Amino acid sequence: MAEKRKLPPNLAALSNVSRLLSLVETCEGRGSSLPGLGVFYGRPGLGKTSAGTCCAVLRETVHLSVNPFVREKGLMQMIAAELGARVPTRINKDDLFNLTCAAMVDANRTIILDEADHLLRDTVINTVRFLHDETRIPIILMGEEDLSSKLLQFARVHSRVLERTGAEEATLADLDLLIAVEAKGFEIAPDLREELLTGSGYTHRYIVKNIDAIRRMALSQGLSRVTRADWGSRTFDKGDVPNPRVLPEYRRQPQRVRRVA
Amino acid sequence: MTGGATPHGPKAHADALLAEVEAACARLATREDPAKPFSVLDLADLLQAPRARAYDVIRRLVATGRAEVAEAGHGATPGRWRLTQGPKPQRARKPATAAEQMWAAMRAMKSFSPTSLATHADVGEVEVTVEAARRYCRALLAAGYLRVVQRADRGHEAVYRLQQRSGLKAPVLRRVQAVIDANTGTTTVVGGAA
Repeated sequence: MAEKRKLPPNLAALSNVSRLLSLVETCEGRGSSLPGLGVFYGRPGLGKTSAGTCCAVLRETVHLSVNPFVREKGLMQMIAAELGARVPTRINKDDLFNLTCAAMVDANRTIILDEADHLLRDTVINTVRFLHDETRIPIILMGEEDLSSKLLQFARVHSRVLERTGAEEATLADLDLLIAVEAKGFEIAPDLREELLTGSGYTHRYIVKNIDAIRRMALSQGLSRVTRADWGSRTFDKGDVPNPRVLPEYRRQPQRVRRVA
Repeated sequence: MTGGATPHGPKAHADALLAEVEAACARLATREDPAKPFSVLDLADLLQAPRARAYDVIRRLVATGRAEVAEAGHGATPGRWRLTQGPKPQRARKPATAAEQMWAAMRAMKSFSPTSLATHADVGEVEVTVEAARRYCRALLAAGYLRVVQRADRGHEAVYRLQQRSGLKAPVLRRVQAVIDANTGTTTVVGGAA
């Protein structure tokens, strides 16, 4: 049964989730003369897709991940099918376009296109524009940090962007929330938290990864609470790779010297 | 979830209130002088509703920024409110059941374990526990909606992928009433099925 909400923390309180929610709300509540494309950008690992998932639950947006091979027809088919329309296997582009528009209007839900960097081809991005023009349903393009600047080359799409919102780095509040959601069955002491945040490069994905590292460490040492002292000299992962190792001089193969007689 | 013929429960109540708020706004805006402040009694008259109901509506209007206090009431003088040009609130479009929240989350996720599904679905109105997510996954797997990407093993749970994306409405898990005949080994569903 539906219990009323509720004290335990959940992902909805993450700052990037509220950023995306307010972008969606801006696009949905815009005036009738305004365009309704939105751009949500940020480097990998900042929880953009996660925010999109939360948004799908909270505001019933439709979250679609675009693959690198998608073309006009594939995109329209994907949208129509996701909205529950029956798409005939053989259909021409014009009919498919009309069918997709009808499905979008019927469903009346904001569409979030994740990994929108794959849409940046003239024909494909224009399909998005036409779908939006025809239906006026907000479409949020979600992608890499430079998505907005890459959109500049498509002036007609670029000019229809109502708002651009960037995903931001994790804060201490976000960290506490992620710990509350992810760290079940053990505790991370406050003195370790700050280091966890900086050690993870303020990136949500690495924070979750490092919380798991702490969990494994707690498990192996039989700790229910991990402090800075327990963690010791271990490091956190923030995506740094080890330097390529160079063999010491004495182990290198001696260079053959070719003698000329 | 769905009750008898007439909708009841908190959600139905909220829906009814929302409809009344819309009606109130429409009627207030079409008065001779839309900007004129109104009291609870004025609104009760307009809505043909009890005063308590009118008060609910006003509270809602103020909470959503569509009305503001024009004259504060004191003693026997009733307060008056006026409509603002505030934003029209969005339709309340929140999934209302745990299944709907999980369905929305699973459509958005490429692959998921019951725990990650619960984490992402547990952001809406209704609480989604890991146990509920596990039950829903198991049911959808049996019904052919999900595919196992990674089998459950010691230390980690199964990872699923949604392969049958049937649409926006969430498939629900129902208990059905059936007649089971042990003589012939037949099961006939007689009721409870959606």
